[in-house]
Amino acid sequence: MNRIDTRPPRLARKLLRRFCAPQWLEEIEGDLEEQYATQAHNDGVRRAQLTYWRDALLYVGHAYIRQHRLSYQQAHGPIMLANYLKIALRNLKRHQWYAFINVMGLAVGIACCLLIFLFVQREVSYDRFHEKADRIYRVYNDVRMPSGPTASFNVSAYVGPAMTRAFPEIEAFVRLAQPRASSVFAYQGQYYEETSLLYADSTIFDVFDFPLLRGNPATALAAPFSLVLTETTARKYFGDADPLGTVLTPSGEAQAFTVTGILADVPAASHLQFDGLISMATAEKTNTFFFQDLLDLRYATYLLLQDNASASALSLKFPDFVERTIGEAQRRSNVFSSFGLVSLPAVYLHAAHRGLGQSGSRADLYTFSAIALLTLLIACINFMNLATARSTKRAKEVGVRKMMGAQRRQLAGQFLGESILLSLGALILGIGLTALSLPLFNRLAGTALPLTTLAQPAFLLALPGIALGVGVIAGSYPALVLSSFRPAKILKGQLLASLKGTVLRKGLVVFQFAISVILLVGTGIVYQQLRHMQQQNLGFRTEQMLVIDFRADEQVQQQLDVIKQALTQIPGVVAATASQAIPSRLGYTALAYVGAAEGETREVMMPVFPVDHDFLDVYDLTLIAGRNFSPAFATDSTEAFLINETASRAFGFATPEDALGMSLQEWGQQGQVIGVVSDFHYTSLRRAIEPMNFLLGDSIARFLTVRIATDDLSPTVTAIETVWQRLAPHRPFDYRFLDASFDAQYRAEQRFGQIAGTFTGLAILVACLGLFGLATFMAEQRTKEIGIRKVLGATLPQLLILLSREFAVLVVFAVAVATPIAYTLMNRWLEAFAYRIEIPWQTFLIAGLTALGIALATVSYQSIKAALADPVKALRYE
Amino acid sequence: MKTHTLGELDELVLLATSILYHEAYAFAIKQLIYEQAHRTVALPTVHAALYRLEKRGFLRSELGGATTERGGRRKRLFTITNTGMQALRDVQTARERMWSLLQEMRPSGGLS
Repeated sequence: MNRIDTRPPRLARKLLRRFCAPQWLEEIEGDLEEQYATQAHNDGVRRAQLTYWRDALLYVGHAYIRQHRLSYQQAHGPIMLANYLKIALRNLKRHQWYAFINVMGLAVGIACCLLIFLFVQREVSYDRFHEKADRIYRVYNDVRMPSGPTASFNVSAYVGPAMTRAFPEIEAFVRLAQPRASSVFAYQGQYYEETSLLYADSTIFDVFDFPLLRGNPATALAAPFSLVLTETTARKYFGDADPLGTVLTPSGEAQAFTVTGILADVPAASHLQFDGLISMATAEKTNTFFFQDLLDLRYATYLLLQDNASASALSLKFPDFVERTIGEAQRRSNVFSSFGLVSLPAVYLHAAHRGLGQSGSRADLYTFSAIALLTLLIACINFMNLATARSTKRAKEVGVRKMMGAQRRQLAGQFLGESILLSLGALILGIGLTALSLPLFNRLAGTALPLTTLAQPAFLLALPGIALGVGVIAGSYPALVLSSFRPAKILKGQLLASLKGTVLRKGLVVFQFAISVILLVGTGIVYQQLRHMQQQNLGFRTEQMLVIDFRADEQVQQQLDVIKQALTQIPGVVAATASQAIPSRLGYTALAYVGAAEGETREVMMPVFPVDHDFLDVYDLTLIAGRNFSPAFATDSTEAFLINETASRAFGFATPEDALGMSLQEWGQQGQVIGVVSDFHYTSLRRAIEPMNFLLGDSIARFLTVRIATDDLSPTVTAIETVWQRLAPHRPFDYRFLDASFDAQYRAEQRFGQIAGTFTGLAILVACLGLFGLATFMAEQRTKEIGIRKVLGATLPQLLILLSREFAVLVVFAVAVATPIAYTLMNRWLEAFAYRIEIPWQTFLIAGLTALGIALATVSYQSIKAALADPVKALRYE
Repeated sequence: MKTHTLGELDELVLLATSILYHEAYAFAIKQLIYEQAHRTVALPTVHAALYRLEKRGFLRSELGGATTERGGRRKRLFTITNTGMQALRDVQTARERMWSLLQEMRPSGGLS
């Protein structure tokens, strides 16, 4: 028998020692060992070990013999708890400002988080209401243009059916597309404009969960010229009457639509938003090139996969599919598509492949969440700082409690409990604040978030967790510090170095203000970039330009000359022009064959502006070479193009003059460049100016731009409206001013700036609350010192400097920490803009000074109060 | 005076304690019960019974002197109290009374 085997198992012994009640441990261990020795001798070591283990476990399991660690607390539990609560409440009452700062700060932080949570919750829950959402994928299409860049589009009409034929794992497909023009329906003498109709395959009801309230899902969208309306839209026409089978006639078109179904209104959390659906068969029937036009990339195509099909495996087969179906055509046109899949729930936030429907920004969600969490963190830091700073106030209590036998664990529990109590109060207040501020937030963010999201069971369960989490984060450090005091020292009156953990506290203040400065700089730069974009000289006239959007209405198109004639007679109207596109609202991108400078023919995708003869003049565009379209040249309407300066450069011409006469073929028109227009920002400043061209094409015009020169807008606008209603009574007078329309492109940035700015303000407010608390405490601490200094002749400014200096140093330090971080972050944000500001160093200076100013203003109240106080009172203090 | 009741194991432990007199500690009790009553009782069970009986006032205990065995650990030695003795007797009396009743009815007896 070897030596080690004769000893009882160590682990079992450890277990016993850990859990057995100490008063019995010795004898139990002794008996066990005696038993072990006897049994090892009689039955062998293995048996003995087994028995030892079993017995050890039995001892531990025995309710009576097991050690009761909490026996002390249990004995006094309820009494002590009541005492803790009483002391906590008394403390809150005695130091109301302190309680206010903590609870208010935490409540604001929590409210920020709740608001952002509501927002994020909505953004990430888009399209989940479709039962088959997990199996639905949208096809995206990265198109490599002949000119180089890749852009993402929807696909052409053939893709859905062809893929479904080719791949058995696709159960169904549905295509959705926006009609080229909006429809105006006449019904019982009223005109209604429908701007939000979509073409849809009849399979839409199989794939998506857009329930049909009336009508047969199998046939509703099967036949051409079928129309399904949402409930609200249908009510607009028919009131409560049964609309099924009613015929609606679009103005200017011969073919009437039959209402074949009523849809439930589309839920807000759907990236597809529409007021009605037109059968895809309609598009098929009216568009001769429906399947052939491979560059008509308007068809958002959704695939419903079989239950077990893998989307990634399917998308691997796409290159081969593309080659087989359109490979030849692609090589001819030199436009190359590559397809991929995005799952339906991801579509809304999928930044890389935008298509039909609404989209959100994941980056914005991250930014907002970060700001909200940082605000809450700042509030937690306030709590930590104030609690530790004021720790000396409660040192006596800790000392007495310890002397009475309280263990450190109990004291930590007490203080932690206090902070959880506070955060519970803050949570309730925070929910109240959220409810109050939700309408404001909705206006700010352009959303309609309901408060009821907070009443979801999952969230209700999470609420106590939030209170607990915040309480623990905010309270654990103070609890640790407070419970560590040595009772003997405290009670002997050797107060600890009055400010325990000063370094940490200073660090935390620096952290808080660094965050505040980063947020300030960020908001400042967002606003500067916005202003930069709005003030940039766009290269064309933007002021007093009224744009009527008649949505390519054929009747209007046919009498454009008459309307223009009538409009220009109005006093105050300078000129009018019809065009298919206007700056900020592009129309087509066309494939053009360009005879570049080197003599070879290049294929280029470029935006095209079909305009009339007056466009250049009305928009104040400058010709830098050649001539404008002219009625004097009959061939202009079929053979003449204007290009922009960037295009002439891109096609290899040294000067604009050289580009004149360049051959260009587009939309089947073969012609030459007759003029070069100086560059202008035809789209948002996020994008760089790229080659584009004009051609004469008022027959497909969509917009009528009226240039006004008047001091008094409103009568002029009224006069224009009167003319419009006389000449195009069926068309709503839908107008906008060009500058507003251009600014609307930056709405996302503006919204981002506003939300970020508001929350930044809140974060800074909370940080200042904390600073105020600290300053109050410091001033209180130094009452005597200030009194003595004053008696010895210190002046008010000297005292103010004395009291503020420390905070000023911290804030300056915070600015130094924040600057490089803010610079890096904002540089990355600005990269998304083709025309962006250089981050000005002044921004940092201003943000830093602002933070310093706010901090000093916060501190000064207390400083001045302390400095002005009667020194006699101060010396009697304590 | 109130009559005491005892569980069977408690009775065995009490008996063993009084038999062992000054040498009654858990392991010895366990051994005695094994030798005399042919019952294997786990050590923790014995301990639990001893503490329980002590709490009921049937036993008294003290720590014995250190020994070189058992890793130098002391034994807790149990002594039966008068109440303990009384309890044993109460149980015994009750049992005897019932045995005698059984014998009157079925003189042949013989449950064993």
